[in-house]
Parts: sequence; C-alpha cells; structure tokens
Amino acid sequence: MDTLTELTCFHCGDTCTDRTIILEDKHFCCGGCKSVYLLLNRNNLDHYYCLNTTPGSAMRAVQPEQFRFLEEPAIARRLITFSNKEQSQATFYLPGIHCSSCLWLLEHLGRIHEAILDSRVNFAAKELSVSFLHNSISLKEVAELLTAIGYEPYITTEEAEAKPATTYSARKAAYKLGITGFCFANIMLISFPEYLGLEAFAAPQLATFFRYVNLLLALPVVGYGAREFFTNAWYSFRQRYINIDAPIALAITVTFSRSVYEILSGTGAGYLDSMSGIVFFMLLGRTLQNRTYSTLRFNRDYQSYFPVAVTVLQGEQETVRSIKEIEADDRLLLHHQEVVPTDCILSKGQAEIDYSFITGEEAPEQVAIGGLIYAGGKVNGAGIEVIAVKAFSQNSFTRLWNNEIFSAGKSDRKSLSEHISRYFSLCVLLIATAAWCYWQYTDPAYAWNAFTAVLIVACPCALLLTTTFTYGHLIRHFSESGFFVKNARTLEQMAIADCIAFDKTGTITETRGGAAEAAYLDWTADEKNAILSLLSQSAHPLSKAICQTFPGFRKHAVKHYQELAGKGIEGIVEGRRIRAGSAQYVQAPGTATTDSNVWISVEGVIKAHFRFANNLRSGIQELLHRLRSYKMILLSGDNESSKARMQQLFPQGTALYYQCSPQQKLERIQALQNQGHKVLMVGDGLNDAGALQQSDAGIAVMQDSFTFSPACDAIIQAGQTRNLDRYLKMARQSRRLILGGFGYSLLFNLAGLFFAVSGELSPMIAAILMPASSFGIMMIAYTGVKIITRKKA
Amino acid sequence: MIVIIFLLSASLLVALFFLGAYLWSVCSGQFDDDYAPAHRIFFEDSNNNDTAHNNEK
Repeated sequence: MDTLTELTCFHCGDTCTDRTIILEDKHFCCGGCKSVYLLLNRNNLDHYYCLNTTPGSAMRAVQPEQFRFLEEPAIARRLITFSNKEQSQATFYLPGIHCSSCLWLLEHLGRIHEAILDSRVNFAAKELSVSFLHNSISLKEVAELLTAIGYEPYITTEEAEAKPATTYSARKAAYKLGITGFCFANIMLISFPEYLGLEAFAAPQLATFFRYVNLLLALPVVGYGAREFFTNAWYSFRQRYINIDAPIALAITVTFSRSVYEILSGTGAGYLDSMSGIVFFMLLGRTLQNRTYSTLRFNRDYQSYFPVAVTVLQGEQETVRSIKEIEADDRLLLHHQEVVPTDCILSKGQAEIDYSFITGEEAPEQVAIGGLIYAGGKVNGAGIEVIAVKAFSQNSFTRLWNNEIFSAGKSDRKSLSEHISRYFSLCVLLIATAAWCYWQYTDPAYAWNAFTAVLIVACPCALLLTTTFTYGHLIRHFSESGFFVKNARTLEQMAIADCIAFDKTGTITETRGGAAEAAYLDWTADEKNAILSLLSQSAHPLSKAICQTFPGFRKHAVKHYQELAGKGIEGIVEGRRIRAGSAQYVQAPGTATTDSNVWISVEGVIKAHFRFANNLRSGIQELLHRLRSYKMILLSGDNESSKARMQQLFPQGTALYYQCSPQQKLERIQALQNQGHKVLMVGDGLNDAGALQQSDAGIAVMQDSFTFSPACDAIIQAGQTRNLDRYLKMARQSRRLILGGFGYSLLFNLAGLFFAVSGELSPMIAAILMPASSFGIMMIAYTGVKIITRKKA
Repeated sequence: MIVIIFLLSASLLVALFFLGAYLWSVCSGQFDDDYAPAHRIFFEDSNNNDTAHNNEK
C-alpha cells in the first residue's frame, strides 16, 4: 500500500478504499455505513459513536425480501415469546452485538420507531428481546429495522430447540459450585480445632458434635457436587476403559466411607475436609474450562446453512414456505445472494451460481435455462425462477452428512490425562495392595488403615486440576483474541499435531478478488471496447475485476469464444483475434511473481497487462514460512489455475491436491492419519466439513459472525489466521506446563504416600498436603499461562 | 460448652442464609449476563442528559 495514512470508516472502522464517502468531516467506507450514521443522527442517537470509536459492523447489502418468511405465522411463533391484543415480545439472536455501544443503541430502539416500547439486551447470549405494538410495526419490520442499523438477526430453523440447554447447564454449574463451596468452607472451619488437637481430650462431646456436623455437611458434597464424577466413572466403566474420573470417584468413595466409619465408631475425625476441598477445586476447574460460548455453535449441521423459508410460486401468487416443506416440482423464486435450497432446474432468467462454499471453486458457474442447479449454491445477480427436482430432505447436499464420521464424534479419542491416569491408577492400586500386605504380616491393625490412606492421598485430582486450570485459562485467553476453542481436547490435539492440511479458497486466499492494477496499457478506444467485450463474457473473477475497473464501454458481439480452464480466454471481436490469460497462454515475456497476472493480446501483440493485488490473506505467506517444520498439504476444491502460485507459497515438496471433492478431502486426511500423522485441518467451506470432522483438530475460519461455519473443534476469526503458529506454540507450551504441574503435585503425593504407607496419615497432614498441592497447581497454571501468552506480545 | 454449640449453629444458620441468597440470585438469572447490567448503569445518566438536552431545544 502506498497510502501513508489509512483512512478508516467512522462507522465500522474498516479501511476506506478509493470509493470513500465523505460527509461533514467523517469518512465512510460504503453507503451502508453512511446510511446507518444518518439514521442514528436523525434520531439523536449519535451517542452511539461517543461510547466507543467505530462501534459499527461493516454493512452488508440488505435484500428486500430477506425477512419475508417472518410473515409466516409458524415461523414467527418461534421468535415471539409473548403476545396479547396490542403488543408482542420477540427475541432475536444478533451475532453483531460486541460492545457497549451496541448495548446502548439496541436498548434505545424506541427512539427510531415509536411502536417499539422496550428493548433489552442479554449480552452474554447476544440476544435482544423487543416489545412492540404489533399493529403499528410487524415482526418483519422489526427485523428489517435491526438489519438497517447493522444488526442483522440470525434466524435458522434449528434456533428454537438449542437454546435453553446452555443456560441451564451454566446455572447448574453455579449451583454446584456454590453448595460445594459452602460445605467445604464450613467443614474446614469446623475441623480447625481438630487440627490443633484440642478437642479430643478437653471436650469429647464437643468433638463428637463437630464431627457429626461435618458429616452432615459432607453429604451434599458427595451426593450432589461429586455426582458428575460418579456418573462419568460409571459411564467409562461400562465402556471398558478408565477415564480420569474413575480413580477420582474411587478416591472419593474410599475417603468418604472411611470417614463415615471413623466418625460413627468414634475412632477419628475422617478426611472430610480434604475430600470436600478436592471436590470443590475440581468443580471450579471444570467450570472454568467448560465455560461455553453460548454465542458460538460448534456443532451446526448443514440445515442451518440454508434459509428458513423460500418464496414459492403458485400460479401467479407468491407464497412463503418453510424450506422443509419444499416438494419436487415446486416453482421457486430465488433472489440475489439467496442459497439454493434443493436441486433445481432453471426455468426463467439467467443464473450465475456461486458454489465456492460448497466446492471451493472460485469462479461462479453460468447456468442456462434448463440447466441443473445444485443445492447449496448461491445465486448471483438478478432473481431467477427454478423448478425443484427433489424435496429438500433428499437433495444432493445431504449426502455428505450421511457419512458416518458425523455421527461418530470424537469423544472416544484419549486425552493426555486419560493416558496418564490409567498408569497412575494401576500404580496406586499396586502400592495400596503392597502396603496392605506388608501391614497384614507385621501389624494387621494398620492394614486397612494404610490401604485406604494410600487411595486417599494418591487421588489423581491434581492431574485433573492441572489440566482443567491450565486449559481453562488458555481457552479464555484465546477467545479474547479471536480464536474460539471448543474444549480442552482440541488444545491437546493442537499440541501434538505434526501435519496441517489447508483449504485454499477462503482460508489461504480471500474469497473476494483483489483490484485490477494496470501494469502496462497500450490500447486504442476501439481495442478497449473489443477487449472488454470479450472479458465480459467470462465469469472468471479476474475478468470481472478488469471489467469493473473500466465501467461503460461499447459492447460488441464476440465470436468463436472459448475458455481454457486455468489458462485464459479467446475470441474474435470485430474481426480481431483477442486472447486474455496467463503469460504463457498469451505468449508474453512472463515474470514470475506471486501476484496473479493477466496479459491481453490483440492479433498476437501484447496490448495490456494487469496485475492483481494478490488475494492472499494478509500474513499467510509469513505464517506458512513459520510453520515449515510441520508437514503441510493443500486440499483445494478449485481448479489448478493457482497451482504455480501455491507452489511458491508452500515449502518445497508440499503435496497440493486440486479438485478434491469433500469426500476426497476426508479420505486424504484419513490416509495421513493411517500413516501415523496427527492432522490439523484448517478450512472454511462446507466442502471442508468432512475433513474438519475427520481431522484430529478441525479449525474453521470465520469471516464474520454471520458466516455459517461447518461443524468443527475451533473457530478462528479470519484476521487471526496469520497467528495460527502462535496458537499452536502456546498449546505446545501449555502441555509442557501441565506436565510440570503434574510433577509438582506428584511430590506432594509422594510425601503423602510416605505417611500413608507407614499408617500414620493424620487428618491434619492430609489437610495440609491437599490445599498446598491444589493452590500450588492453580498458581502454576495461572502464572504459567500468563507467561506463555505474554511472550506473544 | 453449650454456648459453643449454640454459636456454631447460629453461624451455620447465617451462612445458610447467604447460601440461600446466592442460590436465589443464580436462579433469578443474575449471573447469566455479566456484561450488560454493568454497562447499563452508565447509560442511564447520559440518556437523561440527552433527553433533558432535547427538551431544552
């Protein structure tokens, strides 16, 4: 870029291009942003811009018929939470909510339209509930108003069902934590006299009273707080493998039974304090780690990619029908940018279908009347009329999702802590039995004492604490910087991955093409018209970009037009043979650069040379360089036109696969896994969905919060893709941190074991060892992650 | 001696009261959104100023 000072849009903060709109002293990147500003300005809502700089989201073109489906009562009912004669209340999910300005604006909607009585934002869920007079403003108009100010509601068919579960589980975790914390703190307090050894001699009744109160307080800890450990352990037991929860459940059971026995028989105070402490800390760690992003959905299925409803023509009448009710032979009306719901035949209009999300192919496909259009394509240009060939449920698109990989899930893959816990549990059992045998011969009175003490002390809760706290902190840090990881397992897979598979379109390159820049231009007005006539025939993004640079030319008829994929186009205009394409094709003195180049010749003489600012994502080149220690492959659904460029981009010897179907992508990943590689997949389109699911960790690149992302393990904001190597490095370092923390806690375990085996584990020693190790681990995790993430900056 | 038992019970009751308050607050959804209420506080003032300002006009 030559510009020294970059102008940014007053509304959304995007860099202003040459088409900047200037109003008063403010710059806007597009008409959309300006119109939002004017709307807010008119309604005295400028305060929006005072709270934060550039609070708006980049505007997207609003389609006039976009929310027509909200007129359909069945669909509207899903959004409306309350309704009486005059007013209704509806809840919208607005992914665009991101700052206090959003909050302020959305809660002052009443100033824009007086029929809106009240609006309330739930920031965490990115939800807005609006009360409005439905006689003055319809639900559809509310949705359009929201879209007009830059907050487009996201409405899908699956919306209604998914919601309540997440808030419910978050609250449940809060209940558990509160009750367990309460019991733990009180048990600790009541046990205190016991540690000092005062009670048993001075006041035996008081000591007994204290112990029984403790027992009472421990009941909710075991029965309610620790229930998930028991259920998980039982589940793993039935699946015939040992997960981390199994030995923990065992330790809790043993500790609790021995404590109950000691208290009831009056022989001791038990270890209820240590036990409830452990349960509390483990729950704390789990809550921290499992803090879900209620606004992000990792497991969307293909249905959410499709629109909620489409316009169906019956005779001359247009009706809106839910997408699931589309039958074969229905006549559908599709507008610009709408997704084709099912396989259809074009019956009216000229269609240009963009399959880039489905296949990765960059150039849109031209379809003539009678041609087949596949489900999932996006309509470009004017509206078209089509006849459905298949019902929605049977379209070609669903085939990919019938692959078993989608139902299998990944939960069966072992995590690090589970690997360790297996050996750990075995060791502990061996030591416990050995201690038992030893005491059986020397002093049988101590045998059970020592056996249970070993199990109590050697509870692998430290291991669980280390992983949950470390990963919990890391996940939170990542999400702050725009990288959303689904769970800790994904981080573990990222740490051990040795192979990265990239998708091309949308991942390495940006979907929108760069602007054309004329490097050499020597054409007469006549030639210009002829050349542009030829280029306007092609749907290739580069041809289009050139045509857009020169608006307004006289169009001539093109004869003998032909297009050679990956090379160029050729045709005869006004008796002159014109070629446009790569240097090789046009026979130009080619210079190898990473940019895309288009040469144009008239009758064999070079007349023009256009260079395109390459549409690589910024920072990708450097990223690939930094990632060269990994084995990399490229899986593209596009044709081979960009092969030369990609070869320069990737390290030598990188396998580049083109024209992969979604199934082939999946199989390539599978093949690598069979060779023993741990594969990380980075992709964005639906054609990567299978590969993302098959890979050990699938990362979806998300352009903005609106874009549909396929099911994956992590979502990365497009702008953060360049930092992928840093994220991987941090994941690796945190794995080392966990091993370190585990080693630290092992010291305490060994010290405890020494007491346990010798049969002298007093409640006080346990009560000192337990918090010391837990707090130590939390500190290691916290400071460790702080250090790891600070290195980045 | 009895007084310690009494005191302990009293302290537990007080603690239970706070636990109840906490559970109620979770139940009523006060922890569902930790961003909006905190920021909403700041708006009310500026909102009033705005309207006052507008009324003057």
